[in-house]
Amino acid sequence: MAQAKAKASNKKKDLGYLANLTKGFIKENPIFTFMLGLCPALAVTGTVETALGMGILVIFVLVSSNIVVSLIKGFIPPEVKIPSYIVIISTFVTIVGLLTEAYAPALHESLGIFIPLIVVNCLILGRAESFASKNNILNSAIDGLGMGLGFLGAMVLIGFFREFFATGALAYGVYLPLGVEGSIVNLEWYLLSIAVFSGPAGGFLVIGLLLGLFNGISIMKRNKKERERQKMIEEKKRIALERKRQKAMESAGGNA
Amino acid sequence: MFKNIWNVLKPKLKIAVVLLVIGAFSGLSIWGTHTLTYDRIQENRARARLQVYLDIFPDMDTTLEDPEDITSSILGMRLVEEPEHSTVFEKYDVYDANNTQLGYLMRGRANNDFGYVEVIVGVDMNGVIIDVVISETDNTPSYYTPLINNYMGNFKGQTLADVEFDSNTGATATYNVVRRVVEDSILLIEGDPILSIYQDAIDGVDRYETSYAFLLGVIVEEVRLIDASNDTVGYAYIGHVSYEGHDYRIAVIVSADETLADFVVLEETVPSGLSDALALFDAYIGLALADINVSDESGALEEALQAVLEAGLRRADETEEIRAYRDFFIDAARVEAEAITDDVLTELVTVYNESDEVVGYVFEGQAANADPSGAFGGSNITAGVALNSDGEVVTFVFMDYDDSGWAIDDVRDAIDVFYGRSDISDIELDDAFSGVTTSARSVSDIIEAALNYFETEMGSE
Repeated sequence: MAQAKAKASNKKKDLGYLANLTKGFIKENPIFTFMLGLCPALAVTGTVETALGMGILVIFVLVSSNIVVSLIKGFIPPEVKIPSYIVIISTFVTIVGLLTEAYAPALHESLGIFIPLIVVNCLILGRAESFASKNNILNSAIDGLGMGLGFLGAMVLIGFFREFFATGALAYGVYLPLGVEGSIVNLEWYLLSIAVFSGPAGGFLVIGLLLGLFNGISIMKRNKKERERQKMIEEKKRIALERKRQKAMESAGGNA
Repeated sequence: MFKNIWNVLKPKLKIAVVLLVIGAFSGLSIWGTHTLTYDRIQENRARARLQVYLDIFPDMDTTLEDPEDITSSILGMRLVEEPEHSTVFEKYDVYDANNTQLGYLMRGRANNDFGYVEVIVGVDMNGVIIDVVISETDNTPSYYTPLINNYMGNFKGQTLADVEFDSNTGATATYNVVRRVVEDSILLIEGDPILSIYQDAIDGVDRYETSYAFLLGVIVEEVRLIDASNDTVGYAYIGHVSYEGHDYRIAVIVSADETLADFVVLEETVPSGLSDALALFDAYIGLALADINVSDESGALEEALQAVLEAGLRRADETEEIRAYRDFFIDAARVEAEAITDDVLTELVTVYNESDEVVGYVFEGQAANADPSGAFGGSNITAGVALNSDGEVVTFVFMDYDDSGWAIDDVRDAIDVFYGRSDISDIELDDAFSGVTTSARSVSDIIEAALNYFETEMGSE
């Protein structure tokens, strides 16, 4: 009996971890739902590789800072919570900056000022304050990873559309130290090369269109749910009415 | 009592200890990562620099002194100079594998308001620029990227003797550093003809720098002449004369022992008419300043040169206090200061000429105004305003201000609207100083206070 209880509890916990991990993918996606971290989303998504690079760096900083904040949350006096988080985050950003310059210099050059600017990415401070400072280390790490993956996915999606429409191709190995260079897709379809997508205006356009798309899907889902709810209410009403009518008939028959 | 103190101190100490521990761990982590990555980062930077050098000199000998170490010296690049007082910090002679010199390569670096810019300049043996490259910078990418794409290529093929710079790059701050590095590179390769002139006049001159820009008078600039030990060995006072439609810079060079070291044209080539006219003043060279009594010359050019020489000698002889008041009245020879008790004004200085006649008054004052929109901090200006003996505004000099530099520049551009007036009440600041009315209001307050003081306290004199 106790064994079965423990098993059920573990299963529940596993489902909790999974939900914690996946919530950032779509439901609480930092960019498309919370609209956090829009500055790098506009600035470094000109190519899939730079978007991917920035996403990886953000995951590293997010997971590390969440772990440390969760680890020392009990020791930090409330008056200096935010400055302490900023010091922790900026430490990891500096580390990530040095590591990138050492091991992926092309990415470092390409991301440039946006690496130090990870410090002010609202997503990272937001998760430290709203999640890591209230949860245990494992959950905080999973939250950081999930949110980071959601951020990375959104960045790559934006980068995919921008690079593809701007160049007609998707290159690899240019900024990331993959060892080989080439293109996954290269349509050489110059009619598709719309230069505006490589600039900041293209970033706004793509993010706007994707936000519209995600909001549209979300509204459609909500409407569908609402329609089903209405249907269910009407069905319940109908059943209740029928029961009432039946009862009335029964009582009328009895009287007769 | 101690318990109370401890109770107050305890939470603060806790905060301090927590912050100290976090800071210490942060510092250690960064130090560790830095130590771990330092060599690799240096190698990456050296590799990137080598690529830039190769783009400029493809035939350069790239053999490394230590083939295993990319950061070691490149045999094809021989360091010949490391200037101290220049934006260029390294000058190399570049050779190919056959030991034939291909040209020169300069590395320069300077700061601007947005960070630093490092520039590499490559020049061939004929003095033609091969390329100018921004190798490192932390300036704003959206500004310097178009600069790199659209303007840096314009240097290619230009000769050092006649480099043309672009004026509308859209990245003025970054381009100004590029310009300074290119100009200093030119001086390093071609030599500085102006420095040679100063060196001919006074032994030991190693460099020179502008030490004062005069607002009034024939002399426009004072240049400090400096030796290798950083000591001042003399000054040059620069004025201008026109000759045959060309403007020439003339220098009155005075050595530290207060003798006239030279009176020369600061140009490489001097037309014979001008050098003949200058020769009239050779007799004064080598004399102590106190013994020079310039005799009157006839002829327009000669008179202009005489005016420059006399003005230069007068500037060389002036005290710092008189120099400050000559920015208001060029004839100032003596001043008398008195304190004023006023909301705006703090001091009145009466200025006398050599005949001991009053030539004007300088009022020092301070005014502060808040920006009504709240978008900017406001305006707090300390300044001097000069009125002539008739009580008309002659000039206005900013001494200190909290305002933005651009706002003060905009006010300066339109400030002559006050000049020559003894009443400024009809001036509409919104019209005359559109966009910088808060700063203009502080200027106007000081001027108005000076005019009121003159009218009430001195008008009846």
